[in-house]
Amino acid sequence: MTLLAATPLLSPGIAWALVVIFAVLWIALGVSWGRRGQGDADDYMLAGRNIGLALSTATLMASWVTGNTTLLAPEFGYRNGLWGMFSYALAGLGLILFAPLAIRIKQLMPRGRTSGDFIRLRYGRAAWWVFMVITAIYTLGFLITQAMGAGILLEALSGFDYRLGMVVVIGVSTIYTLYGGMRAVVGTDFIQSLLIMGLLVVVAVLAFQRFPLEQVHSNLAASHPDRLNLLLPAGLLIAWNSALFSMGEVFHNNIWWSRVFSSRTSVVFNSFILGGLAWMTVPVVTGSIGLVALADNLELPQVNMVFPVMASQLLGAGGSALVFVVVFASLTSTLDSLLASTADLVAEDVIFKLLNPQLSDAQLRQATKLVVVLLGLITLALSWPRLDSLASVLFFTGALVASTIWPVAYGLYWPQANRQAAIAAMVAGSAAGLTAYVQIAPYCAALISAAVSAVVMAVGTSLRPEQFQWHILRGE
Amino acid sequence: MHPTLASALLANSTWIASLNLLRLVVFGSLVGLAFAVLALLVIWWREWRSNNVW
Repeated sequence: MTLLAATPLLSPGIAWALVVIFAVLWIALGVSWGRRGQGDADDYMLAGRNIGLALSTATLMASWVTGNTTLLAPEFGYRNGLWGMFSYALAGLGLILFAPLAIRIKQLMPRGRTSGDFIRLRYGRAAWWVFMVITAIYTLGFLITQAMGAGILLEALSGFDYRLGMVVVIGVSTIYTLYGGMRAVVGTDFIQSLLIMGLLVVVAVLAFQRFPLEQVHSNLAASHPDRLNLLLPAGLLIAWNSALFSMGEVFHNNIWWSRVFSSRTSVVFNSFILGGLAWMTVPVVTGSIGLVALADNLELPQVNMVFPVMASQLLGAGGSALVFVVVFASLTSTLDSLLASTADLVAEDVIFKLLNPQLSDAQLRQATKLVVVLLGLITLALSWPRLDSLASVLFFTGALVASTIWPVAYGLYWPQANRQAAIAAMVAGSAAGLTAYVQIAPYCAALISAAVSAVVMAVGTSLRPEQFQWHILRGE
Repeated sequence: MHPTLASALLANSTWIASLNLLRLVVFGSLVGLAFAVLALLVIWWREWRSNNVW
C-alpha cells in the first residue's frame, strides 16, 4: 500500500496547527471525562455500563469509520464504480445484524466484560485459545494498519515524516485512552463522529456544486460505462464477501462487545441499528467523490489518494484542511477503540482470569492501564519499519474472523451448540477461507470460511447436542 | 442453470444506472448522512436534558 501523493496537499504549518488543536482537545476532554464515575475497574473498562443512545450510536459509527473508510471507499468508487461503493457500504450490515445478538448478550451476561468471557464460559478453555489466536491476529493487523495508515496519510497530506505522523496519532490516542479509559473513548468518539459526518457532508455538497451529478453521469456513461453497470458478475460476490467479512469482524471483536457491555440495555439494540445505517451512507458519499474524480479525468499520483486530491482540486486549501481533520478524527477514533477494548480483553481474560484470579478491582484497573500503554508501544514498534504490503495481509484475516460468526451466533441462541463443533468450525472455516484466498480469489475468503464454519457447526451440533445452562453466563 | 453459462450471460449483460438512480443513491446517502448528524445531536440534547447521557 503506497499512499504518497507527489506533493503534500496541505502546508505543514496548517497541519501542525490542526494536530495541536485536536490533540489538546482530545486529551483534555478524555482526562476530564475519565475523572467521572466510580473509579473502579468496571468504570474504566466499560464507562460505568450506562451510556445512552447518542454516545452509544456515535462510538459505533466513529470506531467503524476507519482511515480506510475515508480513503479506500473513494478508491473503490473510482476503480469499480457503483458496485465498489455498494460493496464497501455492505460492511455496515455487520453492525446491523449484530443488533439482536447485542441485546441477547446484555440479557445473558449482565456482568460480562469481554467477548473472551463469553467464549470461555460457553465453549471452554480450548475454544477460547482458538478464539484468542484469531482475535490476536486480527487485532494486531488492524492496529498496525491503522498506525501505518496514520504515518503514510499524514505524510501524504501534510509532508510530515512517516514516523512522526505515526507517533503523533498513536501518542494522542494512547494518552487519552490511558487517562480516561472507555469514558474518554466514548466521549471523544461522539465529537469525532459528528466531525467526520458533518465535514463529509460539507465536502460532498461543495464538490457536487462545482461538478454536478448530471455531468458526472454523462461523462461516465460516455467514457467509463462499466462503472455505472449494475450487472457486474463479480459485484455480488465481492459485496457479500464484504458483508460477511464485516460480520466476522463485529461478531467476534471486543471493540463491539465492549460497546454492548458499556451501553444501557434499553439503547443497545437501537444503537447498533442506527450506527450501522448511518455508517452505510459514508462509503457511498466518499465513493461518489471517486466517481467525480473519474468523470473529471483527474490525474492521480496514487489512486488511493483520490479523496484528498479531489477535495483539494475542487475546494482548494480549505478542502485539504477538511480532509485532514476527517482523516485525523477517523484514525484516532478507531485507534482509541482498539486500544481500550483490546486492553480490556488482555487484562480481563489473560491477566485476571488466566494468570492471576486473585487480582483486586484496583489491581485490575491498573493492569488495564498498563496494557493500554504496552499496546501503544507494541503498535509503534511493529509499525516502525514501513511495510507497504500489510494492507493485503489484513485481508487474510477475513478468512479467520468469518469463521467465528456461527460459533458466536449459535452459542448465543442454541443451548445444543457444542464446544467441539465450535472449535472445529473455527479451525475448518479459517483453513478453508485461507485456501480459497490463495487458490481462488481474495474476495472469496470470507464467504467460503463462513459457509464451511456454518456447516461444521450445524453438523457437529446435531451429532452431539450439548445442554448448556444459560445461568453459567450470568455468573460473570 | 449451469454456472459457466450464468457467468457468461451476466458478463455480457449491462444495466447502466440512469441519472435518476444515481441521484437517488448519491443524494439519498448524502441526506441520510446529514440526517444522522442531526439525529445524533437531537438524541444527545434530549438525553442531556434528562441527565441520561452517561
